Amino acid sequence: MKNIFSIIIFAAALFAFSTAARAQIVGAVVTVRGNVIDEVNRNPASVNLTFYDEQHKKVNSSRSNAKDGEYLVTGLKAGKKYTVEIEHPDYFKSEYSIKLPPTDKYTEISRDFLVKPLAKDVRMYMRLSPFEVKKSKIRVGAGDMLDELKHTLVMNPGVNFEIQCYPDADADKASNEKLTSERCKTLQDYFIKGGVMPSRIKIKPFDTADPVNAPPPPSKKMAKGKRYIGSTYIVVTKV
Amino acid sequence: MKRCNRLCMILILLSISAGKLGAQQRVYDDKVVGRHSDEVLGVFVNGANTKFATCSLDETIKIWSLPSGKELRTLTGHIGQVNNLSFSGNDKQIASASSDHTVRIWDVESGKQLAVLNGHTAEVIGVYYSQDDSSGYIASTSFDQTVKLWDAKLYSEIKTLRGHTMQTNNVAYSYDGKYLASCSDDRTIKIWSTDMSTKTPLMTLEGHEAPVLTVLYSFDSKLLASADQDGVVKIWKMPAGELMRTINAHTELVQDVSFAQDNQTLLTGSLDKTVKLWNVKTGDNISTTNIGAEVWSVDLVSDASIIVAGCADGSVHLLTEKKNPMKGGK
Repeated sequence: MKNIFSIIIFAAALFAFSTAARAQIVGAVVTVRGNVIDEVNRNPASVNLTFYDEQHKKVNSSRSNAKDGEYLVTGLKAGKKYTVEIEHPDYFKSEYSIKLPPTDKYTEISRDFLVKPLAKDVRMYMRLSPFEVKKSKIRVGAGDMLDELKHTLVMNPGVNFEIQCYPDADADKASNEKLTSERCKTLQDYFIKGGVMPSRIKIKPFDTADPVNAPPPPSKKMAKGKRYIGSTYIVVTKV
Repeated sequence: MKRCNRLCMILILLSISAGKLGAQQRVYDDKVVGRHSDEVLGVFVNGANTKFATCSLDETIKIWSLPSGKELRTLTGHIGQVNNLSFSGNDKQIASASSDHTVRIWDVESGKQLAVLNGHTAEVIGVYYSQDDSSGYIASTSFDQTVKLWDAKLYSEIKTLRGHTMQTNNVAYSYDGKYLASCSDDRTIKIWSTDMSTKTPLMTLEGHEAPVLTVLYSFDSKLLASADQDGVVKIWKMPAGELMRTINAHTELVQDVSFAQDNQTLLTGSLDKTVKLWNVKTGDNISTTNIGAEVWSVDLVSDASIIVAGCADGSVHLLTEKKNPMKGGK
């Protein structure tokens, strides 16, 4: 009886040890799920998502649902870094990197993706302004967003585009045009420096305020740091 | 009885005239003493009333002498607009808050940048040095919704205070060094302990009906003034947090306020182009000066005989009292 009890204890300990060891060796499984959304019209987008490991070996893939843009990819390893490639003829080819949390148990994480529609005359509004009010240099904090955009543009060499910048107020046209010309040039230089062919980029500075994302009326004063900043758009001119 | 009535009448008349004297208007001469190349967002007068500093959208800080208003030095280093600044309690350093996400510490005498404090993840909009002689701490607030407390000697972050649910707009140290007050777009003011361990607010003051843009303690730490986007100023009794008075001070937002040394006179500046003085005990307006430009920031010398205003057109105004001078500052 004593022997049987010892054997059971030994077997249980062996099982626990082997499970823990296996988890350490193989790494816990992580599932990534989320939604893919069209950046311009905010509708769900049905695209192919492929996950590659750090050696650029394909690990898994999924297609987001046309109804709600939902996707799910499982079989990923905790603590590892993956590259997600998004492809569809109607959208810019894009690539994102994703680092999974170092966990020792099964975990699900969420990650949504915005995709840029690929069609002539599509106008993409930069929700985070690359500039500060009245300034034409790239503001601190806008680097990540611009780097991601630059990477997408480099990945789609056949697409030409136009940078459109609007002023911060509907005031003096000459100073407005000076500001928006400088802003367009700053972004143009940024993309060229990042590897985008100069021949693909046109610029269009405006001297009057954006009629779509219009500034508040002059009577509505904004507090320090919260002032209206003129819109910036990327417009597709050739696909 | 008749004599008693007459005496009562005299006393009543005396008290009425005393009341009128209390609300007596103070009049100022307004002069532009200099300019930044863009909007002036912050002003701070040092404790000795011998200098003031301004900061601007042009990414610089300027130091000026008082009472002359002569420009002494320009400090450069920030790579974004400088939203606010504060002299240390011993007047030797300045801390500045910028949209480049940093707080920087400067030596007033040499103009040298002493440190760059990194830690906020969005624009830093408010900054306040502890006003004790050792000037050991700096509080800052950011659009990342946090308030951070920094060690001004080691140049390191001490603690991050979370609790506001929207952008935080300004922060103030109490002069006794015990408390911090922060204000936010969530329309509240939160009072925090400056001890090293407490990270939850001691109290939340509610009552403003618009985003609260600034807060400031009086010199005796017994009053807290707050101002909002609708131009409303509120005075709170501290440390109880009891609302003492509401003043419909301006027709546009009030971004800055400052107490005089008497703990009774409050200065407000607004985008409605006026600077005003108030008696916070009675609520009386004791001075209004239209300076012809939108006012982002104000401060005063201890007796309120000189007011400094930083404006949206880049101008720096010095308002000097015409007569009957009284002492102040942030």
